[in-house]
Amino acid sequence: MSKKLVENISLWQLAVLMFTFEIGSVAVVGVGTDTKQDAWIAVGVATVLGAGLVWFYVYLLQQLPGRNLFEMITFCFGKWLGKIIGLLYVYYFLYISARVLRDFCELITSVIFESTPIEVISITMVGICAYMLYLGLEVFGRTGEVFIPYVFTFIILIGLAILFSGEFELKNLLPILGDGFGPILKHVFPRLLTFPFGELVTFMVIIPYVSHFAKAAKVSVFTVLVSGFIIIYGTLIEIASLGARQMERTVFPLLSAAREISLLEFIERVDLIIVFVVMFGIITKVSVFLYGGLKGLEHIMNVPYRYMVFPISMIIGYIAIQISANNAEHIEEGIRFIPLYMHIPFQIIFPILMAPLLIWKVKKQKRRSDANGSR
Amino acid sequence: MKKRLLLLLCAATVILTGCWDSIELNDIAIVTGMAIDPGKDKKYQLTVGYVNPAQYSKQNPAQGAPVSIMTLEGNSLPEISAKMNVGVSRRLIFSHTRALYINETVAKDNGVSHFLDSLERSPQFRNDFNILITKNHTARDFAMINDPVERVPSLKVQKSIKTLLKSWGGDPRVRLTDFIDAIIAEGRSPVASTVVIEGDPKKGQNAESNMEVKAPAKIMLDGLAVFKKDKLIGYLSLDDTRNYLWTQKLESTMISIPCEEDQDDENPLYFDIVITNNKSEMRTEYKGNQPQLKVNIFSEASINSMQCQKDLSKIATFTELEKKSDKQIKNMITETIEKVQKDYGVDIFGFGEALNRQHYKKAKKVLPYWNEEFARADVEVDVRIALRRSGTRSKSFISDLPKKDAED
Amino acid sequence: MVTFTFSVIFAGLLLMIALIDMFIWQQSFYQCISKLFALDQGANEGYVIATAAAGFIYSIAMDYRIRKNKRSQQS
Repeated sequence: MSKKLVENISLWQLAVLMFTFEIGSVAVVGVGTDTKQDAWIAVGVATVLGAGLVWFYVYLLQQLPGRNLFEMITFCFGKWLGKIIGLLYVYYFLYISARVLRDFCELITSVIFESTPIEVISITMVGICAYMLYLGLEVFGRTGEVFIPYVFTFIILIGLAILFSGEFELKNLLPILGDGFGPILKHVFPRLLTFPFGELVTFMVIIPYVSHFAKAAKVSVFTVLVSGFIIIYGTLIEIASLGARQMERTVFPLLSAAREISLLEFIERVDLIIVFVVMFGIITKVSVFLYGGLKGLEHIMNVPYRYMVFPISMIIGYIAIQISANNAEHIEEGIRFIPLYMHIPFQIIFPILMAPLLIWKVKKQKRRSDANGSR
Repeated sequence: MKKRLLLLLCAATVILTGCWDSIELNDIAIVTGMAIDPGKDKKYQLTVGYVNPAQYSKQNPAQGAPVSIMTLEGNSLPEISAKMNVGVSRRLIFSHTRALYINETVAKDNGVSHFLDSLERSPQFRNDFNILITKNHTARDFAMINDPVERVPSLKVQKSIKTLLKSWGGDPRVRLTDFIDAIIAEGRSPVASTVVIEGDPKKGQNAESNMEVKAPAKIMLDGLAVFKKDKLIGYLSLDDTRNYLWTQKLESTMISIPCEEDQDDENPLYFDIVITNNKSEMRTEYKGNQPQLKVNIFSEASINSMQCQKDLSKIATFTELEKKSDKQIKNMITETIEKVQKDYGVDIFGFGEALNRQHYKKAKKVLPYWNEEFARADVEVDVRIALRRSGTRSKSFISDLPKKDAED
Repeated sequence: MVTFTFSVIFAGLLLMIALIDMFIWQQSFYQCISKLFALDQGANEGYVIATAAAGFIYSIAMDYRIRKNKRSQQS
């Protein structure tokens, strides 16, 4: 077989990918809508917890430098059990990437292309992701680098534009913590912690390929905090411009907020900018999950992942359609099933269970190699 | 390799152009106004007014009507608007709708929420059109009245509302989402502007009416429609609307205040002040079991006209006039609030929301029956007017005229 | 190997969707599976099925190429 390609991305590219990954689907569906006007507080709490979670992931990776999640699993559980657990992770990653893709397809079909079949959008989007991954992780990182200035400035500008068009009413944020901290904590765990932040577990496949691995922990925690701030900013915009009641009703809050913009009766109807941000965020997110799944398959099946990019991504395009019959089912699955039965086991429980085993095995290996060295 | 690339490019042109949703510019008709009337056989009768683009070409404007209308009946708005093409040649585009006229009987009998949902749900409608309740005539008539200056009737209405809001304040500044928010809110009831036709609507439909100096029919703003949940229950006059707006967000207004409180009726004297900057704050409190509604208003103003013989170069005069305007405005606003309390018993001002923001625990208890609480609440309006300047003259020439008492 | 991977992933994901549907819709396993394979009349599901089939053919071709490469390397 052809030898494995060692790909590297820089720290900056890692930060960019993480950032767009975080804000991508948050910009589509909005977060914390259940906590009404306190959503931004909930996001803040979740950000801090999420940063801790990411630090934990990188800590696990630091025990075995240069190996990704799947190699780590094999290291801990042996060949066959490792393969089975790895396959479960592959299914998880691929399923979530299909879900994210479906989120975006729903947005496009219900807001912009009303009569275009959703299937076509799904295929074209997944085609882009597949092509990017086929060219490799480095190309993916560079793509992120090219687009990040636009994404960042657009999000900031949208907020300023809403502020200056007079739709920004701080009154809507009151009363702060009317029902106390209870509902917020209930919402943060499990939903908010797992949805934008816990999903970073996929980066356990990417972080080992960063060129300055030693600094990866600092950079990723910092990136999570920055993206958390941007999400808080976006949530504040949504609450202040739409009001809590309306935010609960809209399917795509940030898009609805952008529709309120009317600057000097000249800059109007800028919601397409949001769609651009969302589109890039979704491409990043789908690609990261897809890459995670493919890397896992590469490890399990012993076939270079480039051979499998196209077939597997075609499945993603198909699954994204089959995943649910209608938007309501899609949302309900996202609220009732996914966080509890998929996110929590794969993002929190399993890494925590793996941690002591990993540390023990690493110590044993070190002792053995020390003994070998002294002999 | 080249062949492959060519194939890829061909595929890209097919896939990436998004031809499913493309509509050519000359295949669309831009709707500017929609009017909803009760239907004869079905639930609603919808009239859309769409622009005739030939009228707007710069080189050779065509003669004829600037807008064209189409009326159909049906049970829901999307159904009717999709069916409109039985008589309209082009695809109707609703994203530039400027005004939605609702016949008062529809608003009274059926309630408005049934069709507002479809407007909010549709991605075509933006949140920038005015919701107007039509009085006396059918809503259909309003979509047809030509205007010599703006030509398209709905554009005229929207522009006139916008300008009125800047100069005097007679429109509640209500858009679709605010309206819907107010319907479901416990601490606020929705309001909308009303419009009437002055003149003969039959004559106003004719494009030739644009040739006349005095338009035979005109759409005029006529105050406020008060809703309870989604049903129309009554109206407020234009002056009350201004007072209502004063408690909310007033940009500017002009008000005339009598010089003396008990002056003779034959020749009353007034001075005018223009409000240039206004800040209002609502506070709701409970004293024991009695709700207290408080409005604090601070306005900056300047004097625009002076009919009384007062010396405006002295501080004492300014203080005196400030006090008079305070009192007058306070009375006006209190009267409006009390009128709403007594006649309609619905909280259109949003005192309940203020309570929710300020005393959340109390609000949670009383908000379910807030309208009754509102109706029995004490009202206190605190107005402070700061007169800043008096135009380009200090003393009025009137004060140099011989005094009235001296004449006698 | 690629074809094998393709089939494993395809079957596994469909099974997963069926299981989640069982949870959400409270239906039997058989119902959910049959719903996945039933073509919705009028919906454009044909597009995605065609691409999935294209992916399958691609994976077979890939396997063939890998084997050919291996053989040529050996000889």
